[in-house]
Amino acid sequence: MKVSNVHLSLAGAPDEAAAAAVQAEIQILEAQLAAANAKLHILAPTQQHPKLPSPSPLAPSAPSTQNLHLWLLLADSALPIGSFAFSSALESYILHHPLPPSTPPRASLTRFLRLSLLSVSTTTVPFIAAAFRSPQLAPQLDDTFDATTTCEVARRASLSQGRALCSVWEKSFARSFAATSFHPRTYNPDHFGVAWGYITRLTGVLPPEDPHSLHQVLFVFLFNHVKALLSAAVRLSLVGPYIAQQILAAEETCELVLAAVERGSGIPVESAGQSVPAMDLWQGRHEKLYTRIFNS
Amino acid sequence: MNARATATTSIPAGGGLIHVRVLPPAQLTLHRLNYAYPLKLISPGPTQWAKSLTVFVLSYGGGLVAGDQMNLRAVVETGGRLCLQTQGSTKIFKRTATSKATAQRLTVRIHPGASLLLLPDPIQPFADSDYLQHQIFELADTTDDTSSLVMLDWVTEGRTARDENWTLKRFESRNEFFAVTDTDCDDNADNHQENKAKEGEEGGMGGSRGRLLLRDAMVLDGSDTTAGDMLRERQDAQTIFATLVIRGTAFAQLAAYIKARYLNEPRIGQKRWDTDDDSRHYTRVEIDARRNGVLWTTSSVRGFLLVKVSGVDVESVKRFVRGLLSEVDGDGIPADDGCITETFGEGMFRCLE
Repeated sequence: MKVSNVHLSLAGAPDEAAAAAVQAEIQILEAQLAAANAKLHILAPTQQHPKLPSPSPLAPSAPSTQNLHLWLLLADSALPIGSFAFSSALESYILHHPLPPSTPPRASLTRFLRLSLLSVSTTTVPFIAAAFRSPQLAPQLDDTFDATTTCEVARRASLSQGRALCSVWEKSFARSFAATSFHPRTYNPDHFGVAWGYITRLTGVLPPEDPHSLHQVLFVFLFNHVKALLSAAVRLSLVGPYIAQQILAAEETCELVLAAVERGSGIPVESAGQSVPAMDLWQGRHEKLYTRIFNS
Repeated sequence: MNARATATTSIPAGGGLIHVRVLPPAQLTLHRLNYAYPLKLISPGPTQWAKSLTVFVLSYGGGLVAGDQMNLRAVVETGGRLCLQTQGSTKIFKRTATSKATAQRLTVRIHPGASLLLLPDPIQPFADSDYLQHQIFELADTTDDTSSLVMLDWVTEGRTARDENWTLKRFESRNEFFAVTDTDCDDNADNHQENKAKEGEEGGMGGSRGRLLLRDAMVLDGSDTTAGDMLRERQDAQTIFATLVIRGTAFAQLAAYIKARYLNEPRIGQKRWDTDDDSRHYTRVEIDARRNGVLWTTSSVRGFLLVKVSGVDVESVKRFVRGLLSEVDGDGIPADDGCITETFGEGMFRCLE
């Protein structure tokens, strides 16, 4: 589409217009490269890419590295938002599906992973996307999400991580993004999904008109979700750390995350809803477990 | 019977209107009861001393075919008590290539001091059916919580006898609860019918309807197999999912009973101790639920009590839900002073039997 537009303008319009069109094309391509870079670093952190982050990642001349810098910060498992304390119903699911001792629990874990990603993509992802697209609506979105999250355990998990993310932003990240952050921060969303969309937009390093920005916002959120689930699985002794990394690196996992991004970004918040009703049961019954390691 | 039970042509197809009014000193009347094909409303003539009014919401032939669009509006005025029931499960037939989806919309306004019981039979979506259910509850008094309701919404896997096991095309159920202010409280139901068209489908972010208090939404997509699982696998061998939503002073006793029962529920763990942490034996009701694979959970959210129940056997889940609503003791004996029977009278649990 784009390319043919450029050709058309080259044929009929003055050189200036053509140059502007090509420049626009370059900008889009640069943004795409930045997105691909960020994705590559998340998918294969060990693999070194020729374009390493420059020593001064916040230099205004390097928008792509700045963008990468943000994702490395937000995809860090040491990000102090306490995600390690939540298993997103995995702990309860395992207790509701006791396996014979000889069966390897990996299949059960990957099944749960699929269900969990589907559920998150139809409940939370629409709100992340909406908060990123329309940060000025964050207070209403937060209230609507609060009304829509009917499971007590899930809402506690969401509130805890959402508030923590806002604190990290305020206390640690905000000053680093002061140069680019354009939207006056007037509201602290309570819920994780809304806070994620709102704060990533606030940083100002992700141009909202570029479709890749939203794609990255959702991809990193869902990838973090998978990481948190796998980390919980390791601590529940379902799989070892190598198998966990194997699942994380697997192509199917990446496809599942991409499918969840795709599905979730196409759902308006009014149409969000639980697509795995059993999830609400497992999650709600987490409170009734005889022993539990996690908060959700 | 002084209700005007007429099937007038002024109502669009599938439309209906129920208006419950209390005449002095305390007589419950159906101020209006209108409906148009394929919707049918039947009210057994209320006696002068009836505690509540019951209206049966029916469709011709006992099911809904593709393209059926039901749109029922109900108003319960101060002091009014309305119970909406069905006569048998609502069957949703398959969607054909040329037809639209099946949709049922219900909007109920509950005035201060009024209460609603919505206790239908389960929805039974057949193979390849496409169904949207959108229920809106407008609560006029959320300060003192005198607009009260008990709502049950449940869905089964389909025609088990024909091996239908969540083979539907799409099923969407939304239950939305709004706080409406007194100024929106308009006694004239006819105006509401007109306003509805203007309001349209908007109402997600509050808007003209008042503040959204709670939204419970379930969306089952039979065509989504991106993750390699069929819908039936995602339903985890459960054949029925039920949601109960309770709010308001009229049902405070019921809500307290359910909360206490959940609190006392035996803990879940791999080790099956003979006695749980209170050194207490399981009651008959708990043993029955466990043996029949009934799972349940409660959640207190924004002034509502939500109960989710699922199970592998429809009858066991029905029995369990009936037990909750009739406040049974450990042996399954309904409480003499059960909240619903006290305020609404006998016969409210027909759909649960």
